[in-house]
Amino acid sequence: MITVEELSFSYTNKPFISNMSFQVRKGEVFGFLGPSGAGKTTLQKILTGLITTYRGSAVLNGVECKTHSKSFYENIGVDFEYSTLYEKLTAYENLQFFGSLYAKNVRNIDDLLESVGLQNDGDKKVSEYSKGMKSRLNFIKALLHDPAILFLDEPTSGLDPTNSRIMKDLILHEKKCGKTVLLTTHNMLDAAELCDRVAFIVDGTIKALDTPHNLIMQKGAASVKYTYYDGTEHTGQCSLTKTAEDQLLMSLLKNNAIRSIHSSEPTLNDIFIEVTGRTLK
Amino acid sequence: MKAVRLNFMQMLRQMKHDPMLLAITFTPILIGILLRFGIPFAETQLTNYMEMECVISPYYELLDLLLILFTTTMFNLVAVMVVLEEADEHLISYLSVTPLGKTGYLFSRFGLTGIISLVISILVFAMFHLTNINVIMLLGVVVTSAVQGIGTAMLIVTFSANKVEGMAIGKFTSLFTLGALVPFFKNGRVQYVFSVLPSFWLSKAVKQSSASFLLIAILIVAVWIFLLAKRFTEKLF
Repeated sequence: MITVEELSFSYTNKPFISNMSFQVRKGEVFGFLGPSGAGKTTLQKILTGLITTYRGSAVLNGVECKTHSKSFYENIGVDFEYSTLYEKLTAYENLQFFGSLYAKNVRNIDDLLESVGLQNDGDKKVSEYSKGMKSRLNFIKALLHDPAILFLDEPTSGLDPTNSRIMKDLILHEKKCGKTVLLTTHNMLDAAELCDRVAFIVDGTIKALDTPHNLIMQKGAASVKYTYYDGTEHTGQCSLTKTAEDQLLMSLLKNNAIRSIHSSEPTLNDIFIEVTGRTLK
Repeated sequence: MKAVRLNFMQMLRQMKHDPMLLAITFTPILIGILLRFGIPFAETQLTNYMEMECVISPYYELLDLLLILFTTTMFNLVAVMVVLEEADEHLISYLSVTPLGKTGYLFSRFGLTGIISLVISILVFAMFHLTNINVIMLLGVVVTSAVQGIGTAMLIVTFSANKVEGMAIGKFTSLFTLGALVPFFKNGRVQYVFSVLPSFWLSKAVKQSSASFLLIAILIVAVWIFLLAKRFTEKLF
């Protein structure tokens, strides 16, 4: 669906994106993870045809991004991190207008509003919407023309847990319908939950690319932490793969002397820090 | 073309929500009425009072030209205000990734506005003119004026961070039309100090009835647009 080969781009003389290569399969949720200024937004601009002065190749849906025609956008939906709505118009008017720009038939506006819980707010002006409501409206705007490829930039940013859940379920529903989703996020929990594969991007290069599970398993072994009491409380720890070799743990288990026991895998965030030496800010 | 048309209609809808923008589009008519009826009246009063054969009438061509320049400037100012508001709301980035695209967006905001300002300029001139400019020259003047309006609009958008700054820079750039006064009031080499202003050459074209000056005006606007293009597109997209 998307093939990027030896992609390089620079705003100045200094390279901003260097020699990037990856592929995204049809129906895959692919995550770009990286700190601010890593090149995620620039990469999205290249893939959506907004930046055309790159070197290398970026082919989306069989079309080289820098030589695309207008119809290229019939199959791309973009949900920017910020609101891209006419504040003086109602939600309904916004969706009607943006939908009218496409040649193909658009989805039913009432159904889309209902899918994000805005069915009773369609006639409200967007300027009266809260940040969360705008995020949800922004998201369904990207779905209006039923695109094959979705670019989502921080789709759950600013949402409360309930609405964040609704949004994630909608993304998973789109995936189930066969959509290819490119997700840009700082949120490692979202990435781990939603993405089939993730790419860690730092300083315009891909530092790691794999499934969240593989990344976690390759880079860090899960550990077991336990506490026990022998006059005072103590804590013990061993690798999950070497529990049988921990004599103390074995003896405590035999004597039912364990007060608490937990296994803990490293999070995607831990792996990101380990691989890139950077935090996600 | 459908997307361009719909996006232009969207601009009209935004104007409907903003009384100031709506009012701006009617100002050329108000100025035209003032020019058509107020100036000849003032000329009669002044010539009687000063006992002179003419006072303002030698400048009627200039006033007609200023009316045309004012009309295109006002229409482009409306487009500028809408564009700056859309930039504030990040709408331009979004519209660029729809079938409208960057080119469609620019054409729906500046191209169509330029064409409409051109037609309105002709109508306003036809209704309120003080002199008779031949049709070929009139067409040349309105086309050049419309192109100059687009160049000025690009300048305002490029250097404004928001609508308020846009209004301020818009007022400043309206001074560029004053280049039209120079050929009527200054002779000799000193007048060419203003030769970087397209309005100067437009004015020379009208005063000397020479279309070649229009080409110089268009060339100067083309240089403006060339110099602004990179910063302008970076600002919008």
